[in-house]
Amino acid sequence: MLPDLPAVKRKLLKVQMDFVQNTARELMPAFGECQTIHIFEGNQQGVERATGDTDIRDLNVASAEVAVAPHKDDLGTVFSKLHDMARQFAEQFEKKSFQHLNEVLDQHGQTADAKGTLNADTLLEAFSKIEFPLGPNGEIDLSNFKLVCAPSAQDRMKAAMLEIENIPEKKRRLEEIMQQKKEAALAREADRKLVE
Amino acid sequence: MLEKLIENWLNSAGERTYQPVFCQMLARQGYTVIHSTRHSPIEYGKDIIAIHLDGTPCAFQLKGNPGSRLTLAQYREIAPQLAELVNQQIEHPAISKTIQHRTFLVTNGEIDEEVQQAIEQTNASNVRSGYPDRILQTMAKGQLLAWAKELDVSLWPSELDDTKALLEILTNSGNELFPAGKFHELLSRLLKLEFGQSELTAAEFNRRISSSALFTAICLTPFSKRDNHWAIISAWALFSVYLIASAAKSGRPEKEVADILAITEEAIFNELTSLMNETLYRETPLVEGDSLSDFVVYQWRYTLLVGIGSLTWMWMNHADAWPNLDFKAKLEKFLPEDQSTLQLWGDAAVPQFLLHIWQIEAKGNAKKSRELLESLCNRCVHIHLPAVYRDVEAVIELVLSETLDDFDPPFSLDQNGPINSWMTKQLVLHMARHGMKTECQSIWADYSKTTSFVFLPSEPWMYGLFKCSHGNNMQYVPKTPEKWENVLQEANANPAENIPLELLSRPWLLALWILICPQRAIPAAINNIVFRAAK
Repeated sequence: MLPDLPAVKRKLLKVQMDFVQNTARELMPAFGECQTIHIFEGNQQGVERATGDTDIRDLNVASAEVAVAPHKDDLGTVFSKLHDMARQFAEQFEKKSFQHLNEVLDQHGQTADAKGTLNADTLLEAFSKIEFPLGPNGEIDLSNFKLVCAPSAQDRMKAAMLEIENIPEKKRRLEEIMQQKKEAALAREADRKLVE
Repeated sequence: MLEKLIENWLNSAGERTYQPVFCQMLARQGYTVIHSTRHSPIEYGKDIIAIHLDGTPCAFQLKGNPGSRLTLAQYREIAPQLAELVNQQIEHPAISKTIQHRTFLVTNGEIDEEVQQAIEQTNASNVRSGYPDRILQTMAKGQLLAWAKELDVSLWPSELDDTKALLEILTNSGNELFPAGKFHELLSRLLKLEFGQSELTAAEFNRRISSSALFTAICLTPFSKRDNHWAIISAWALFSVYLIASAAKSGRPEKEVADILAITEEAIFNELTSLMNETLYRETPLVEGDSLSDFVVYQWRYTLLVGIGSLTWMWMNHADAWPNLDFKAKLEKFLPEDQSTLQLWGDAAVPQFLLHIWQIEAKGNAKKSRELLESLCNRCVHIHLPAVYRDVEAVIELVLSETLDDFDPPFSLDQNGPINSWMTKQLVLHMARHGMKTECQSIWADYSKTTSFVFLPSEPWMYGLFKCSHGNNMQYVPKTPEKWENVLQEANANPAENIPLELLSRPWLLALWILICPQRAIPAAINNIVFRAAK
């Protein structure tokens, strides 16, 4: 072999991998801030929900490839390539995650079909299917609530939200939905018990 | 290199260290080992009793002369013991009093010429006195080395990475925790425990058992030199569990591993006794190694010793095998009445707390044990603890990194958001199993806001592995509302679906397993470690 300095390279590699991981999370606004669980062994992941149904899946592999030219690349160039690697991971992860979400939500009737039209009514229908948590003050907690949509749908989403805000009937409908959600959340909290 | 390793091991092993492997050597030579001493008052006067292929009972007295010689002075010290060995009958239910036994003095060193002459003179005297069968034979290093080489060292993992891992174990300073992860890699290959590998035939299984016993002993070389009792206990417990896993995987019957498990049980029991002896009879506080930095590990060490001490108490109590009454009294004084002084540093510490709780229950204070169980469950439901796979060194480094710039956090611990725990489900089910309905109802609201994680290996035999390539990381979201009868049903589920029967029937080994490998403290294990009430 040729002479090498593996100790300092190992330290740098850790920094590089942390950079890729953190950047990937930043590039996934929908999922980047979610709590993460480290998996140490096994080849499957499952969940048994409070409803009693179970979902078991094989773990997915995400992979990314970049080409480096150590004889030419400097720190900035390498980190730019690592950014690209992070982007590849983020895209794969988001695609798989949304696919999984769509399957599970469809199964449980948690989808609102816009039928090609994203407007105030379809947005209100979507809100009616969401389960909102209660905050410590007993009101609906929206601090972790995010509206996620494809870039191409952003303008229509904004227009739909403005429509809800500006048309009294639609605004009233939203208030009704949120009141129902609050009552449902209170009922859920009251149900947190072990019964005979 | 392997032969050199064996020789090096023989040159450094004390008699207790080489005793388990010597038993394997005897088994390989066709002997049936029926007793291996616990060095307790009832020793039957012999270290090992075995029956030769021809049916003759044999008694073995082991001496440790690592790297040295059995001298005439040492021989004279043990001559009365040896006379007993030769002349007195073996008192053991399995030995007929009508058959004259053979007796052996075994040493892992060399025997001085003068000692050989003295033995020959004693033997000749017995012959002249009309007892030609009362002969003392000797086995020294050369014979042990030859027998050790017959234990199929060719089966040892030999790829470059394996050799590197083995060398890393052997060059360990010996005062650290036993490297279970590296040992797992090597022992899994030796016992063919990788997923998808075919089952072993009876002959191959037996060869691999013998070979892995010697392999384990050799891996312990640096730890034995330092009298690192916990490392020795960990290694033999790992070996025992892997043996059970291998037998379960290949469908080998219980009797094929029963003998060797009994031998390793003796070795583990001896080391537990030694560890607790050292703990209980120290004149100085429980400090080890460099004292200036010991403060950062003291609480962890104390908590672990309470867990180990609790296990030791339950085992000795169950087997009625106390070394002496003073030991029992000191152990009971050492074990605290509550858990305010113990450190819950992570999910991985929970088994230590549980063992202490079970000891308090076994001692007769069921009320206190339930209070402590409820308190432990409450803590796990409300505090973000490092996951069960995070070892204590990583957790300590994380804590230090919060204050000292020179320490990088080895992982991140999310202190916000819902509680994720690898232990809450088993604690709640354990409370249910104890009929603690009110306590379960009281905790349910907060418990229902947590997510519990349990790793379930694909097949029951894989439960006996430190790490599994195949298995399911299950998340459980508690139901709301949930019926008490459902919780009770789950708490009483059949444990054999997830844990090999051979392990379930050895509560002391299962308890050690969850201490060493807390990620295996699944609900079935927690609910089924049962040390039956004292006689």
